[in-house]
Amino acid sequence: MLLFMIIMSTGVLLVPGLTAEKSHQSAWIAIGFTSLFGFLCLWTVLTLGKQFPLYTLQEYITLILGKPLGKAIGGIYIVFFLMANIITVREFSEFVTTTAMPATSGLVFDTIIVLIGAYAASKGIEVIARAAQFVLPLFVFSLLFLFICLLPVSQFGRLQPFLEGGIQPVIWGAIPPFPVYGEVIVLAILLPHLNKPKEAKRKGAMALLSAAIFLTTGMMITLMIYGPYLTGDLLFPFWYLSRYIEYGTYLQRIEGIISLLWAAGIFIKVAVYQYVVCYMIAKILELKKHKIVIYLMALILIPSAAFLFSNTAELREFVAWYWPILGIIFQLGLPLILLLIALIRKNQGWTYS
Amino acid sequence: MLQNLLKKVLSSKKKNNSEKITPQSKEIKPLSENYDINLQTLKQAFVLCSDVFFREFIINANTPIRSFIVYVKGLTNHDLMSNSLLKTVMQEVSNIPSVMHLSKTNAQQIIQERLINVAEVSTTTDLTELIDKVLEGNTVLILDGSATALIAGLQGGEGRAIEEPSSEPGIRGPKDGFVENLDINISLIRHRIKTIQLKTETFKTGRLTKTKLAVCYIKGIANDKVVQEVKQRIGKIKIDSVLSGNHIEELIMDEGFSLFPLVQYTERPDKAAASLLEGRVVIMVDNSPMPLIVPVTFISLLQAAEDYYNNAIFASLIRLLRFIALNIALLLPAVTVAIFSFHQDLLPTSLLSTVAGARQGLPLPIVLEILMIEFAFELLREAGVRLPKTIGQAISTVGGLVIGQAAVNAGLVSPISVIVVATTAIASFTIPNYAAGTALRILRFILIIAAGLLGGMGIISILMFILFHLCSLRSFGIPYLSPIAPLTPRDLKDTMVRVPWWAMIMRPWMFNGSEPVRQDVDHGPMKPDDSE
Repeated sequence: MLLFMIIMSTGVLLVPGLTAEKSHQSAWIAIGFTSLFGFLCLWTVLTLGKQFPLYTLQEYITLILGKPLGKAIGGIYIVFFLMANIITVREFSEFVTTTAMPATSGLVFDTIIVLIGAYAASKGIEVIARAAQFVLPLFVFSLLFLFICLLPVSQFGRLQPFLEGGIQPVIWGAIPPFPVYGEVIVLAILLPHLNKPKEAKRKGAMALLSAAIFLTTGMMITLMIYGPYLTGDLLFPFWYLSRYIEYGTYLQRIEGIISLLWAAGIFIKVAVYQYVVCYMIAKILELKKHKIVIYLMALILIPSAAFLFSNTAELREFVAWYWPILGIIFQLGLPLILLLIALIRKNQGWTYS
Repeated sequence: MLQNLLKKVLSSKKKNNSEKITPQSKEIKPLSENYDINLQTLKQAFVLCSDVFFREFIINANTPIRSFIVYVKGLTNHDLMSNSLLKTVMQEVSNIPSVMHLSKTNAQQIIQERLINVAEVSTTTDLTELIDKVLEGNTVLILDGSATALIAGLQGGEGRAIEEPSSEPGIRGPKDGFVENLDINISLIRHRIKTIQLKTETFKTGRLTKTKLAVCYIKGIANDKVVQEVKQRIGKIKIDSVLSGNHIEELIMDEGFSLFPLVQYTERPDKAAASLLEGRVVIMVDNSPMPLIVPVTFISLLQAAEDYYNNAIFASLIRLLRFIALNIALLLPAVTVAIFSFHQDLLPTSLLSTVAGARQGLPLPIVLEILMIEFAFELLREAGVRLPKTIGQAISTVGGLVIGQAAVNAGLVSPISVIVVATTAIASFTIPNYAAGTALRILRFILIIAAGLLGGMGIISILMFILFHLCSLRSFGIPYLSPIAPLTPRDLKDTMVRVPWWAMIMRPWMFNGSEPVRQDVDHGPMKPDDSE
């Protein structure tokens, strides 16, 4: 469930537009296609988890690669997660400033979300998960509501011609959503915390599948309403969808409510990331308490989220090209290599002490 | 962080005072066999206590035995004392057959076994215990030549009669309410639950007040871990005075600082009994008409005893209404502020023009306006609580009618803000739990300010903060938001809705006792036999 929240919360923001920009009317195929990548990540993470039950990513990296290399890679992972967090925070403040509060500086929202995330992270993952339980139904409901309200006005013809430019634009379009699905990697850290680790496989797959279905449907509907070219130009296509709803004089202008619900989702995601990063830092430095780290990290997060990207265009560029590359390396590549090494060593009869 | 700081401050204080706080030495001071010495020591002990009385008299045996009783005036049942204690030892002593040779050596035993017709009699040889017993309202009899004192439980004195609970009135349920007397309160529970499984363990806390506490639970139904935890926490209490349940509440709470009540109060015995039957623990404090119920969940604060006495469908709808009222009480002013000052575009056009017209020419921005009226309302509320009932009427007239009406007519505030605040106030009165209501009041102000600063995002930020906070709370180990998070679908039947009794087969799982089944079979509606 948490996983679904993590994927969806930012999945509904920037990414659809980017995909549509690349692959036009086939964008929905692209976005669905990428979910396969997510399943691959999930499989890798879970298999690794099975090899090292009770250990988190941080710990088994060291076990597999030895202490110096393991710590180094672990450190890079921390930077990666920190980066993911920064992007999430920035996407949030961009989303808010563009859609609801154009006059306010994004820095304000960065600060708020990071501080509240820090509070949640200091309470531990269990608390975050429970909070997610509250937000999830609202989130799902908001999306379903959106889709149902828009079905009557969508025009199926806009999805045609099917696969106009061949398979190539689909592949290009499939790149931006890579890291979105790849976020299952957090499971590598959270796995030992789950109270029913055995269900992780089923639940994780369910989360991925439903996220994929929602994103694909959302993409289709956006395309059917705004058409392939306009969608590509929109910054937050799903959100513009909600502006389109208008039934009578009363059921209109609901985008405010919907954007608040989505914001709640991002709060959860940021909290999870902060927890993960702090947990890893505490593990790598072998600190007993990770609470001090949380507030220190908040101090780093706020300015970097605000000033790392000078404007929305830069953020969009980054999320479209550089981030997926990093995503492929860290979310899929490294775990796969780790798994490979672990399996080979296991065959050679290594035991980890 | 604040907590750590506080702890440090407290601990540094403790070091300075540690010598003063050390409890009285527990060494046993035995009574003497000498009558005069006993009398002198006790008079010395009770010096300047004008409510403690000594009555010396002589028991008419072959050799007269000097003796005295000591009691506290207002705490004793005087009729009983004269009839069952004094009359017997002074007059009916002659009924003792002379073969028994009443004398100094056996007097104490004979009196205890054959004379005093008081149900509750015990003995002690310890002076400190004796003094404690006297102060609890017992009458103590000391005989010459005996180092053992007889303690007769003749407590009495004035107390409030059982009345209808004033803070939680109901229409269909029972009308009795808890009073200040602990024994009567326990009996009110025992009236309802007649099983040996209902345990009432008493403790004593407060170095000076020596307040009696009773921990009540139903063995088997309550979770043993919770019961242990409660007893342990009560045992850990080291404080000089316990005057109300609130002292205990703040000392045994899981979280030092939280707006939300982690302990529930009730004035209704039926509610306390129902809580016991759900597997919760009731802590009764002497001199407090409001026992504490632990563990508490957020949902239980929204349940009123009345829900269980009404038609299930109606009760469910009322709960839904109350839930909506909760949201209104918390959010309505803040949402109004956010919409008017940041998101005017969210209003439908027709409504927008009405609103804009009404707000024309007003001096204050909507945030300050609503804050002002809310503040005025809080003032009225506080004034209404503090004042005697007769003047309270005047307050509501002056406050509600005069000020409200005049402020609108004078063009200081818009009627819309008055409507909003009034609706909020009415909604907040539907919350059955007073402590939860106060939490809402504080949060409402925070939310209004946040909405004034950042609009909808301000609201959602504070709400997320509250959500994270609520999720992190635990009351005696039970997550505060259960059964919703963590989700236990089985327990949902008594949260937002209230299913009929025939469907409540299982007790709430969250309190997790060893006897989860409430009733054996699924009753269903009963119909006459078809055989006819």
